[in-house]
Amino acid sequence: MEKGFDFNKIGKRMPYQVPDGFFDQLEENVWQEVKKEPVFDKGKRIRRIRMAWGSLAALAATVALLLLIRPVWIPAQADNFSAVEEAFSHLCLEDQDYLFEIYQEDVFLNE
Amino acid sequence: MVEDKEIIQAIRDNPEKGFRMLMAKYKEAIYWHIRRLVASHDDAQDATQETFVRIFRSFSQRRDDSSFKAWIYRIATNEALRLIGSLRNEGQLSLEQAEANISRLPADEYVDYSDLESVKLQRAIRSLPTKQQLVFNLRYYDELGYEEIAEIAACTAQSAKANYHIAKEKIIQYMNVNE
Repeated sequence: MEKGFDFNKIGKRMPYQVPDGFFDQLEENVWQEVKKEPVFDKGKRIRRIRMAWGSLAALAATVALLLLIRPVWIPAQADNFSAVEEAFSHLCLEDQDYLFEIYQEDVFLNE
Repeated sequence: MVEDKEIIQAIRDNPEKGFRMLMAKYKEAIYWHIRRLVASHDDAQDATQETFVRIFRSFSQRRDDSSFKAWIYRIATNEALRLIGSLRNEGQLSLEQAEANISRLPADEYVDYSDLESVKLQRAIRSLPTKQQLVFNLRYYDELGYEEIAEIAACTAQSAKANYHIAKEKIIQYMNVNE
């Protein structure tokens, strides 16, 4: 190790300086910024919790609604089909044959 | 000196009290840590303010098993590197990317250029690669242990120790040659 320079001569002394009252002002500047953060703003924190619970409740209500209305849709489809069958049976034989001829090759109906 | 765990608990229970305790313990240390890296007072002020704002923004995401002090210093170091990168239009720098600062100190109202010895020591430190500067400063000025330095510099304690000794040797050489 090269000797000559002794760290103890300078120690922790630095040429850097700060303006008077700088650290108090720094703390105040930071406070002005961070006091808006949720960790400090109780009202904001409560609003966030309420919003989270509100979203959860809305999700739960949507799921419940879907579960409730699903059985209504299934019979409705069945009702629609029987209504068509009934209407078809009221047609004369020529019309029934005509409809059969037209739609029996229909790719969309026979998918 | 207030223990870090008391500050953490205070931030959870009474955020304003916790804020005051945190600032009382760390504001000067963090400012000087950043100042040594960026040199200019105005830049150090901006980076220090941003550091403390980030500490509070990300407080809830902090891992309980990590050292609170190392976590704070790491945020401060990242802010300093981000600022150095933005001044060079390079964006956020990693410690490996960051090259040595130019060794002269920038013209700054808040530097005592008449203190020739300490100006020269800062020039010597600033001539080092950024990782060596960081490790040297954290050990020499902040008196942190190698484990904490390793956490801040994202390296092993052995690597931190090696970097410190290399930095010290280079500084001695610089000071001897430039006498």
